[in-house]
Amino acid sequence: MDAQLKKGLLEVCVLSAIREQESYGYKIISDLAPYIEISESTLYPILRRLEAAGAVTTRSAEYNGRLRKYFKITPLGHKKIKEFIEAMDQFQKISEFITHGGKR
Amino acid sequence: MTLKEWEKKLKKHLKKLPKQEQTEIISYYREMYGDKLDAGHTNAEILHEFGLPEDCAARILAEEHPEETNLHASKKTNNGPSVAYIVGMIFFTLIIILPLSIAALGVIISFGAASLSGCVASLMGIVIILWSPFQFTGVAAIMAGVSIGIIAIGIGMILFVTFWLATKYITIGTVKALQMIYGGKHNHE
Repeated sequence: MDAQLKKGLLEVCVLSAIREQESYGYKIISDLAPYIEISESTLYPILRRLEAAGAVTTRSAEYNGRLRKYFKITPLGHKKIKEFIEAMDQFQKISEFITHGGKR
Repeated sequence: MTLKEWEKKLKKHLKKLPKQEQTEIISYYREMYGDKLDAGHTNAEILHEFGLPEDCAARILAEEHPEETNLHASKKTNNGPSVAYIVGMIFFTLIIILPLSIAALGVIISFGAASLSGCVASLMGIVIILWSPFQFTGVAAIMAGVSIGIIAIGIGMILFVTFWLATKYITIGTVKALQMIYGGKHNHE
């Protein structure tokens, strides 16, 4: 998959992984694993970007005697997911156009 | 390798980043390590999954600070030719390539013109001989005159075509040389 395309896709995937409830690094990777490959060093910059953009908020909490960082989606994060779903309709049309070699 | 050793190596490769960011990255991997350990992975498995610390650092730097990782490469490729290089190339072009090309073209065009005029003169000679046959002493003289004229026309045509082609290729060559010298700048943009 194209690197830029995957990058954009991963951001939405991460947002979707925390859409229902807040989550943490290891769980996000585990939840995405059946759908898309993502390594620890790929996830870190994505989470940083989303946090900087205001799409997620974070909080640290103690778990088993160590710290764990939890990520929670914001209204902006939800908006990003919605925008992606809308853009998917357009992608679908483009995909059909490409699949059929520019013929209807 | 232990987690401490892995972290130490990772930190070494993150020196470009502010201290706080380094600490955050280390905390992130430490948390991930703990969760993987809880999930039943062994130390060796986890560190293998993380990969080499230098690769992890490079990936994070490339994602978070692309300007840092591309800094050296951009210095080499994006700044274009130096002032000395441009001045040198202008000097080389103005002093050597252009005068030589103009001189060569001048000589070749003059040879071409001479060949063409030779053809025309010979043709005119034949016409004159054919139109005034009675001024000459006999058929043999007329035939000799016509033959010399035809040979002169042939030689003239060959020379004309040769110099015409030489002019064409020297012009193309000069244009290509100038494109190579000045066109190189645009490849960087």
